Amino acid sequence: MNEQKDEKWLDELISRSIDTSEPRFDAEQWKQKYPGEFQALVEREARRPQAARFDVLSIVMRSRIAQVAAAAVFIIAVGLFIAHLDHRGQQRGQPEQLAKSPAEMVTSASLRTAYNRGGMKALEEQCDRAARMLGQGLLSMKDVVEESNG
Amino acid sequence: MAQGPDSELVEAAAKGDGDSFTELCRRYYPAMVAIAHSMLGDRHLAEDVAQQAFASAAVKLPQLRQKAQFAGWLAAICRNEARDILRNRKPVSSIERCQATDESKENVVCESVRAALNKLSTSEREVVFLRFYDGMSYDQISAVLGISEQAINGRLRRAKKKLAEYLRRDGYNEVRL
Repeated sequence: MNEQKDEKWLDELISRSIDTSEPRFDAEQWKQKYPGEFQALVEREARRPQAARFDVLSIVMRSRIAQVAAAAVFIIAVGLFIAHLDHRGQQRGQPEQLAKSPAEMVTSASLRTAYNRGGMKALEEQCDRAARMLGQGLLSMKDVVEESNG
Repeated sequence: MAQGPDSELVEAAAKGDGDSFTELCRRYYPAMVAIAHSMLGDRHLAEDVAQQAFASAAVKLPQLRQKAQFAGWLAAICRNEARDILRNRKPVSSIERCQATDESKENVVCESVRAALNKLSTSEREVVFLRFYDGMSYDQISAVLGISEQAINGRLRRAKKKLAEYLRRDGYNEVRL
């Protein structure tokens, strides 16, 4: 007996020895046998819209280009926010400069604001500006305090 | 969605499409039964294990990241289910014995082949069962085992050579591979 015949004989022997007929899958019977598992599977369909929202994040995280773009958007947003805060800070620091009269510039509230903004240096500058508006020379702190206390 | 390539069906099933999932079950049922049969040696028990594997897969499907590896992933679940059965079973011959009680020549030959199959390694026995279950193609076996068609061919040849050797030792001198 040659090798080819032997192999065929062995193949037939294996086929006869084990039940190798094609098994048929009965989907309906399986669903009845495992109702909980099948329900868990199809219930995902109902949760899809919520899952889709999170898909955007997963898409961003999967693509390198999307990651870089997201990082750029974040940096620009932070930059704009900081610029906005800075602008507001400058606006808050301006009431002394916009004060209508030297008297308003040397009220205790105005001087306190100037001190909070820039310490003694800012306080001195504000007093100088008030003095210049009055057409006087530089005032000392003593004069200013005396003046403001009446 | 109940037709189309596996990857599309897996994608749809993962999103909750029941029809896509049952179509995948239909496609891989013979392979899963073959794997379980090769481990348990009992066709009816193998069918139960294959169905249990599908139930586990239905629950775990969202955890599958590589959708293209569905067949291999399913086979791994099926092997685990079969191992659980083996753990809780008394150690008996893993290939079922002939149902008939008469000692006809046919039954004696069948017994010898089953005994020879039992001596093969698990992976070799698995590839023999997959190949002989309704003549599954190398392509289908490759998808399930996650190895190349060449590797399947080599494994199958080695398994057959061993089977021939065991049968020769058992007195079947005509088998030479």
